Amino acid sequence: MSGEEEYSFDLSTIKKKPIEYNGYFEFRPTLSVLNKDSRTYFLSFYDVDEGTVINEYNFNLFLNLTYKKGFFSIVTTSNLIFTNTFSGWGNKISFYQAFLSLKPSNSLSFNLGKVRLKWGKGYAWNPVAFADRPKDPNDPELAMEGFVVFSFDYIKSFNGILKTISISPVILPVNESINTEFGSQSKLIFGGKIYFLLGDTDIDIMFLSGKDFDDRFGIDFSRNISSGIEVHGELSYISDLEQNEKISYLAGTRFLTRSDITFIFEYYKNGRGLSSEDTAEYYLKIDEAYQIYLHTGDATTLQLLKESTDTVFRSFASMSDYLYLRVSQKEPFDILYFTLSITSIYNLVDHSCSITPEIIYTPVTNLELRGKISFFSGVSGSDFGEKKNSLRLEFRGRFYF
Amino acid sequence: MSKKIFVSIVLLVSLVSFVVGQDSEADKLLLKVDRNLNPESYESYKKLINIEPSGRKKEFVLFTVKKGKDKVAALFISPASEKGRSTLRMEENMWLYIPNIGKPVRITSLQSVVGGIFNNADILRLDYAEEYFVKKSEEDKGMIVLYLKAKKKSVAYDQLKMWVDKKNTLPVKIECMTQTSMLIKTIHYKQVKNFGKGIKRPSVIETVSPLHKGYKSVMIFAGIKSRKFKDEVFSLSFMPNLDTLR
Repeated sequence: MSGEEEYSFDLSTIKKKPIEYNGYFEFRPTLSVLNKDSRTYFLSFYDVDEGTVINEYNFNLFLNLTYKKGFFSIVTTSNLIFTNTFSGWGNKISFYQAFLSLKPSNSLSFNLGKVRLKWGKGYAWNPVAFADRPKDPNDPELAMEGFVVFSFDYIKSFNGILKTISISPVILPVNESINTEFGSQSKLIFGGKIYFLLGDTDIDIMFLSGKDFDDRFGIDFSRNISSGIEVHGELSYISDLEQNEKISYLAGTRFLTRSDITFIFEYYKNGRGLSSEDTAEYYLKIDEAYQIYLHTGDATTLQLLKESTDTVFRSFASMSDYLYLRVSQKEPFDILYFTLSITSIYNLVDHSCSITPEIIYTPVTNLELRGKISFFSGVSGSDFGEKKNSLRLEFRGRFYF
Repeated sequence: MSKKIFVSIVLLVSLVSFVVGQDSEADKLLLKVDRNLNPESYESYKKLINIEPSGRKKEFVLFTVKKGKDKVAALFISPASEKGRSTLRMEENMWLYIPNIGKPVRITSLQSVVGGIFNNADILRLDYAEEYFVKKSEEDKGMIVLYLKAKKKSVAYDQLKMWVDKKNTLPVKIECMTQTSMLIKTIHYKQVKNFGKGIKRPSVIETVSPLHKGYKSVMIFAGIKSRKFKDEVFSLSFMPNLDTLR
C-alpha cells in the first residue's frame, strides 16, 4: 500500500434505524474425560453406562433485538440452544433480558422487566452481586439471565473531588413464578446501589432487603494506580447468618506489562463456603446413598443429593477460600487478533485446582474461534478432585452478525 | 564590582524572560494545534483500520463525543462483534463497557480495545496541552518542532516530538517515545479536509511502530461537529446509553 493512498469513510452506511439487531451463531462441541472415581460422577451417571469419554455438541443463536423511538425503547436478549449429548437431542430458549426503558433525560432512566443488574467489580466472583445469578469463573464474560425488576438510574456530575454520583434503586417482585431464586412466597424485595467517582476511585454501596429475606449490604471499589495497573475489591455482609458466615470479600488486581501480558489475580473469601469437614460429611452421604442403590436399586436418596448438589455447587465457589489467576497475552509473536491465555483456580482449603489454557483467534472480521482445555487436579474428597470430569476440551466458533 | 553584579542580573533577567517568553509562545502554539484539530466539545465518527503486512484489514467504526479538556467517550458501531461496546475516559481514568458483561470495567491507557497499533490513549485522546507541556521548540525546514513532555507518569507516552505546519498550525507528524527516548510509534496526519463551520483539519491519521514492523493502523475522521453535552453523559451509568446521542 502506498503512503499516499486515499481513504474513504461513507457515513450513510451507519445510519441509525428504529429496529436494530445483532448477535451470534455459535457451534460449541465439547469432549469430557470422566473421572469415574468422583462422587459427582456417581450422582450424574449411576444408572447409565456412557463410557469414559462423552461428547456434546451445542448450537446457539444469541440475539439482541432493540426498538427505539424517542426516549422509549424495548430491549430483548434471547438465547436459543440445541444440544446433542449421549442421551439425545435437547433444546431450550431463554430470555436473558426483556424490558421497557424510558430515558427522559441524560440524567434519568427507568427500566421495567427482566434486566441484568451486574453489581460488583470482581472479575471471577462478585460477592456483592446480590441481584445477579452467579457467574462461572471459567468463563466470566458469558452473558447471563437477569431478574424481573423495576429500577431507575439518576446520574449527577460535579466539579470537585466527587466527580459523579449515580443512584439506582431497584424493586424485585417475588412470587411462585417470578424471581423464585429469592423465595416462593409473594413479597417485594427492595434494594439499590449508589455509585461515586471519588477522586480517581469508583466506589459502590449496595443493599437488598425484604420480608422473610436475609438483608444484605455491600461495598466495592476499583481504581487505576498507574497506566497499567488496576486494583479492586468487594465486601458483603448478610444478616441472619451464623457469625462466621456473614462476611464475604474479594481483593484483586489487573496489570499489564510492557510486553503486553495481562495478569488478573483475585483472592475470594466466601463466608458461606463449605469447610473440609462439611464436604467430607456430604461425600460420605453420597457414598452411603450409592451403596444403597447398588444393593437395593433404590435411587431416591441419590436423586435428593443430586438436586442439593446442583444447588450447592452452582455457585462455582462452594468452599471458603479461592485464588484466581489469569495470564493472557494479546498478539504474541506479532500474530494479530490472536490471544493466548491460561487460567487457574486454586482452592486454598484442600489445595485442589483447575488449570485451563486457552487460545482465541479472529481470522476474519466477525468470526471468533476459541479452543480451551481444562484439567482438574486434587485428591479424593477435594473440590476439583471430585469434579465429574478429569479433563474437558472445548472448541467454540462464533459468527457475529 | 556592583556594576558587574548589576550587568549579571540584567543578563539573567533577560535570559529568563527570553526562555519564559519562548515557552509561553510554544505553549500557545500547542493550544492552537489542539483547537485546530477539534473544537473543545464535539461529536465525530472515526473509522479505524488495522492493516497487516499481507494487506489484510480489520475495520472498526466508532461514534465519539468529547467535552472540555478531560472527558471523552466512544461507542462501537461496527463490526457486529464489537457493536454496542463503549469506552469512557475522564482524565486518566478509563472504562470499557461490553454489553454481554453488562457493566463497565476499568481499563488502562496502554491496553488496546481494538488490537493493532492504536492503544486506548490514542482512541480516547485528550487535548495534547492537557497531557503535555512544551519542553523546547525549534524550526526545521519551514515547520515548527515541539518537544513535549508528559505532565504525569500515567500518560501513555512520556515524550512527543511534534512537527507543526506553520501555515495552518496543524500537526504533520508526531513521534511517541518512552522516558528513555525509545521510539514507540510515529503518527502521520494526512489529507486536510474542510468539515464545515470553521473545522479544517487532517481527516486521516496513519500510525506505524518499530515494535510492529510492517503493520499500519489508520484512523479516518468524518462528521466532526461542535456540540455541547451535559457532564452526566460522561459517566459509567450512561455508557450503555451512548447510542441515544446519535
